[in-house]
Amino acid sequence: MSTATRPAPGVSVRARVAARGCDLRLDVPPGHTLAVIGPNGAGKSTLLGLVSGELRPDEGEIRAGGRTLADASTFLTAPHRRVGYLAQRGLLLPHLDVLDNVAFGPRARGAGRRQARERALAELGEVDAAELAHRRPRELSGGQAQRVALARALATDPDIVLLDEPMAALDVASAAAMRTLLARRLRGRTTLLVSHDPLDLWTLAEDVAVVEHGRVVASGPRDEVLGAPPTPFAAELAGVNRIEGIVLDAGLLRAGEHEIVGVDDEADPPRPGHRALALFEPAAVSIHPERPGGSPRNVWPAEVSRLQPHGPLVRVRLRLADGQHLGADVTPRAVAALGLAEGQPVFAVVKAAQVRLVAEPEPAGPRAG
Amino acid sequence: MSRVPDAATPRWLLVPASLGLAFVGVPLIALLVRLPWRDLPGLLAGTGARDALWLSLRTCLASTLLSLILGVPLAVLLSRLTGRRAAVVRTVSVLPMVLPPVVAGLVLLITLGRRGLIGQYLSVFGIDIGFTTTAVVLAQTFVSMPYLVVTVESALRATDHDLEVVAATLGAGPSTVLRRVTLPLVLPALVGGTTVAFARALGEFGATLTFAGSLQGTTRTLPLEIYLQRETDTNEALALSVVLIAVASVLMVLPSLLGRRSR
Repeated sequence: MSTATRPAPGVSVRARVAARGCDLRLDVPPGHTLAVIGPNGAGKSTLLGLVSGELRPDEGEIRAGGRTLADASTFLTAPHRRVGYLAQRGLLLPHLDVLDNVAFGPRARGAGRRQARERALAELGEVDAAELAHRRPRELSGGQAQRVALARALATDPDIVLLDEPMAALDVASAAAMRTLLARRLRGRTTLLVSHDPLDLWTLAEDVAVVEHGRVVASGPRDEVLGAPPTPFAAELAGVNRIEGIVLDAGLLRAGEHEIVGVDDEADPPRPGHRALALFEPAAVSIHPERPGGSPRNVWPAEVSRLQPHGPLVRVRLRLADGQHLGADVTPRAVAALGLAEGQPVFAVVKAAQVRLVAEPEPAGPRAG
Repeated sequence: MSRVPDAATPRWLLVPASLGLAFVGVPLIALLVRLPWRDLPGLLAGTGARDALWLSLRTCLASTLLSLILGVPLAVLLSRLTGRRAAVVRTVSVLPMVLPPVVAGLVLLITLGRRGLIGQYLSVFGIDIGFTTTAVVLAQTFVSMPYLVVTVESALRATDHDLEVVAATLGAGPSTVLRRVTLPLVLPALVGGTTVAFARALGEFGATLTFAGSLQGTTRTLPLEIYLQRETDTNEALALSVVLIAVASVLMVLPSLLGRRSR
């Protein structure tokens, strides 16, 4: 039923918020979903607050399509921004039933009572919640409340949708259903999605921005950004091992006292003397109690720093002598056979053919133009 | 199955607790015992009693309305202040709660009385507030509004601010958010605070006597009438007292009844 007549706008943020130590620069192409990832306190919520109108930048400008949402002389308050916001909790108004919660936006924007309720019912249908129309919010499960909250956010035809960890508080089954629903309902809408879940990146986002210490350290198409993760945090979310080093020669990297042998990336080959990344899958890493010999492969002494379940496998976090981390996926049986425990010294082994060497991406600065 | 008595409640607590309940309850029972039930209709039909009842009802409604009109906005602003400013504003708005009522009456008199700070200018226009029904309403509002402000403010501070943020993104301006989100969220406190303010206005004595005097039909409210009759006609004083107690009891129960229905 989506009656969105306006084309989805692109969003551009150039904003400094001194009190939070943030200087955020970012672009979202029209109709794209951009996943914002980064550690807690990095500035993700600040970014959403700047776009929603909850925060005013000290300096800079925020634009959506041809509209200026904020700059030195303008500041549109939240009600005038045409933004839809969905938080971790549904935040439904407890004194209104589901239908009136969804009709709240259209009503606030001037629609008549009947017209607003018709729109609300249609939006509820879109999220498979029409039968909940006359329930009170406290009678809903977490998953139902979140679906209703999505219907409410979209009932105002927002130009920009802001999602702040929308699945974080849901159980596994509800989260999966919500993810499917979001994929359907967000298609073609300009969206900023804050998430800690790798699955969200792969199923919902076309673009990724990595935020750290109040800066956007990388942003762009998902596969590009996660293909050469700019930070250890991004690498962990992307599910790859990422080791920084200096290029010694073709196919050879030095990281602290370790040498890393790999295959130079053809598109973005590392240059000797420059910094580069060694990227490889956790599944490619095997763990040995003694130093093995043999074929050309990487053997690094390491220390077990953490064991955590990872699907049917166990993700073993290993710390190299220079403080960098890598993960190895092994079976629980192997963990038991090796008697792995935190603090134990082991050898991490990776075949050279499994390691990709790429030039370290330049930190994302303000793009020209 | 029977539950083990709460281990955190020592048994000896029962003794002072029962004494406390008796201390409050026995005098009320004494009133019911001592009351000349058969003469009750006649006692309440006297002109003095009727005037006082009617005056109390009118002035309490007016002062409660005034408390709502001024007190709710004050509570909203107060709940959004922080730091020293909040402390100063709160102290000023709550002070009448702890002030002796006679002092409240006195400060009203020197402010709004004929020669008062503001009253002297009002007199120029022929407006004299002291010793009129308006003075009764103002005295009642002065002492009862803080109860409403305190109740509503603490409820506002406990509400989820994120609900207001979301309402704003949905297109609701500040006034719409206040009307459709903020105030409905604190409705129970609004009802509770209003009834407490009404009850406090109903019992107002000292400030009214000082600022408004005791003229039958104009400023002599129920408590004043009871105090006056106490010496000459104890039975009438008791009859009026039981009316006050009945109204106060209904006011106490009302909010929880309303609360149950909206659930």
